[in-house]
Amino acid sequence: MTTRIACTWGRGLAPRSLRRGVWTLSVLGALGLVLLSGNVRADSPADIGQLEKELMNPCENCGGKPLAGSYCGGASAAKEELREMAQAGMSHDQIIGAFVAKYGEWILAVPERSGFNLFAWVLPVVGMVLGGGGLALFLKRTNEARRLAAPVPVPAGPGPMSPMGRSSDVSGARDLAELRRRLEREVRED
Amino acid sequence: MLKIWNMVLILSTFVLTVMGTFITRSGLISSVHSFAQSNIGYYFAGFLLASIVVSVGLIVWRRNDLKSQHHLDSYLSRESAFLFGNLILLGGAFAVLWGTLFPMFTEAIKGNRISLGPPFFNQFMIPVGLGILFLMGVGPLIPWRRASWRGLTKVFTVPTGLLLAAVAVLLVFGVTHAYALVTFGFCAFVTGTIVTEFKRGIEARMRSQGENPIVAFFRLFSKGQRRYGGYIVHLGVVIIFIGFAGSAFTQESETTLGRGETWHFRNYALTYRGLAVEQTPSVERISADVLLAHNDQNVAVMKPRKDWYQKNQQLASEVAIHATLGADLYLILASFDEKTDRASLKLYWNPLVSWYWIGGLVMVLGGLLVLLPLRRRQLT
Repeated sequence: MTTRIACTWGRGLAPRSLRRGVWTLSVLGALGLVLLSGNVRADSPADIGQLEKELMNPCENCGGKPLAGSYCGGASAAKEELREMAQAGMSHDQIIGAFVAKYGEWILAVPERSGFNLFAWVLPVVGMVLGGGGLALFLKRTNEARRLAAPVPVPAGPGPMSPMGRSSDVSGARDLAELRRRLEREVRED
Repeated sequence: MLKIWNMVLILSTFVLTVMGTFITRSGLISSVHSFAQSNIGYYFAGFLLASIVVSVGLIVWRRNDLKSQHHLDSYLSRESAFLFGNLILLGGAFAVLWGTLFPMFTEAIKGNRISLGPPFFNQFMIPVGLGILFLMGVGPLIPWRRASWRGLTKVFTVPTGLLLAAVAVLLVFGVTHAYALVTFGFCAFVTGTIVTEFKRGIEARMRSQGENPIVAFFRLFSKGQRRYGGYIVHLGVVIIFIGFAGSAFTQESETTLGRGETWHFRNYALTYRGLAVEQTPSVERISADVLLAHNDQNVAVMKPRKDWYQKNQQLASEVAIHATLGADLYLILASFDEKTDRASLKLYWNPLVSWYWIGGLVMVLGGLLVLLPLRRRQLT
């Protein structure tokens, strides 16, 4: 009697090309969501709290942080400027535009998602997808190589030792029984 | 198993630590910690390069000794859960590294400065944190080497039930923030796995040793010190994540008050009682005296202030904090007018911040339980 390797995710459910298509669409969809999620926003009345999160502290000495959470003299002056603009009736986008015109693009806590800036978002996602794919491929190849080399017979007695105890069998009931045996063995060891 | 992988992670951690110090201290990125106008950046760069060369060289040199003697048996195993956890953490580390370096690349290539602030990093790190939290719940219950779907559905029934129940209860109470719902749900899931493991351990002792549940609970720590101490650490992480989820509900408000006026915010009442000026040889301190009442009970006097450092000509704000288990209240003196004795105050209501500290203490407790020599080793 032989046992089947438990690695069967997705096998036999759909043709390979269909699975690839679903995965490709998922990755592209995730990328699209990440890239578009910050750009789809209509202009709105000025919300001081939100603006303080979207603008960096222009202070040369203690910059590198958003205005929200910065309380130095430079930050206080910029916040005052922001408040005056809001009181003058400027909208969210008009205030952002005025700050960018005055200080430059670096005053934005997150730059526009366009052109070269897109690389900031794309590369980590691509890295994760490639890493995940590489890991899945590695696991699959390891499994297949082992399966081809020597089919694993079902042991008559207890299974081989693993770092924390014995390996579980494919049956759920045996998993639980194994877990219980392991605990009781540990208790007895003392 | 995974010896090369482990060595790569260890050496990468060291190299990235040196790199973080290099880009901060050298002034490559804007930081108050940089050494202005100094050559220390070159020394750091040299050390960084040497570290990379030596690290790669060591792994290549000893690659035969680092070859794995065991292989992964299945996707469904604790080993592969570890690997996917590694992948998520590495993805997070890469996102932080790339986000930190990207403004420099932009300046070098395009010639214009940009900033990547907290919203960029949160976009990547919140999913990373949630992924790790979820795997922390999966890890303890998934067997080493190989598991089966049937087995997993059995052992994860209680934790998954708790997850769904927590989300359902929160939805009933009107919580609709997606990340908060997922975080609270995963916290319930991980707590479920911890409780399940303790329950199994206690039952095993009750059966084999005939102990009552309380004695069995405490003896678990002396018998399975590393494992159960580790679960206490997990519990600490869960508590910290509950604190993180609280940040989804932060509220802020601001107002300008005259002496004797009261400001109502949620169930707080803040009465402004005037400005106080304190002059020292180096600094002038101007503070607002605010009486804080919660549910009509006076609970604290808060004194947010501004410090004017005459020598450096710098103004700094000192935030007044009132911390409770439910929420921290931060009060900031935004501006003031000494002539009219009026003050503009900004208030942040930050729920569950104290839980960070409590979670940290629980983690320390778990760490101590793992490290302390509770059992006398027997030499055979």
